[in-house]
Amino acid sequence: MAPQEDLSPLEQRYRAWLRLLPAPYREVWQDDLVATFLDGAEDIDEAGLADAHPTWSEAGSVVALAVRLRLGAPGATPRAVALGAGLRLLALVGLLAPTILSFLYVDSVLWTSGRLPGVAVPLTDGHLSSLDGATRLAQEALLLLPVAALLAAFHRDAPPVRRTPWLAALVIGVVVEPAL
Amino acid sequence: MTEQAFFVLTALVGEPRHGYGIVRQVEELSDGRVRLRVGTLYGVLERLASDGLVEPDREEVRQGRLRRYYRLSESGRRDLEAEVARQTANVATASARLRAARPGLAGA
Repeated sequence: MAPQEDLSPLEQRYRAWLRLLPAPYREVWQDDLVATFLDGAEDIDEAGLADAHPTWSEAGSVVALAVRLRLGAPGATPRAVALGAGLRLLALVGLLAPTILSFLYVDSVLWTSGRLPGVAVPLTDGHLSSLDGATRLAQEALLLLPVAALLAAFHRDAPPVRRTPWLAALVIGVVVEPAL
Repeated sequence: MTEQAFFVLTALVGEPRHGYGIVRQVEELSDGRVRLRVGTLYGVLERLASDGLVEPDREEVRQGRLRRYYRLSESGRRDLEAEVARQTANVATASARLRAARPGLAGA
């Protein structure tokens, strides 16, 4: 690679975005990526190169590639593969819990409104206890964590989820949770 | 096979190409519908290379910059042929049903 000061400002800007990529991947692919970016900018004249910037779309594609590589896409390190698998697990577990609670909420609404056939209406509906505002806010913030993990870790190259264990976990959770 | 991978493999049929050559060829083959961003292209290339469908061909230096060329492997050609056969069969099935259910012919 030429010394940094010999590079055009546009090439330096492309290389700055490419620093988001994991180092081992960058070592192999960086020059090729830069050449492809600059080939696409060939119609910009010499004067324009000083002011030209990568488009948001180009930068976004580099960010997306960096996220995929750091979360286990082909070409990722074993550590990134493990991190991606861990985040996908977090996303699924994090979504399983509110799904179970949703089932139980529907069940409690049916129960307290007397719509469960053969089951007596409870004397008190106090089990839907009120939580203070801060606790409720903290719970809602916690829900964002698996959603963020879901969006980042289920990238195009993520392996498909095996449905059976998760459906089984949902059924077990709905059955077991009220006893806890 | 994703549409992007399908077009990248198609772009490499018969001729090795470098990164930007693939971007342009894909855009041309898809009548401008599929515009690969560079980050997306290299994600697709990495996946195809790790599956053995695409392989490095040669490297050239142009204007002081390294250009790496890629070519379709034998395995890539077989996968593309299989995908073409699958899509052709799907199109034939859908076309036949659309022809049979053409408005005006119902109940005829």
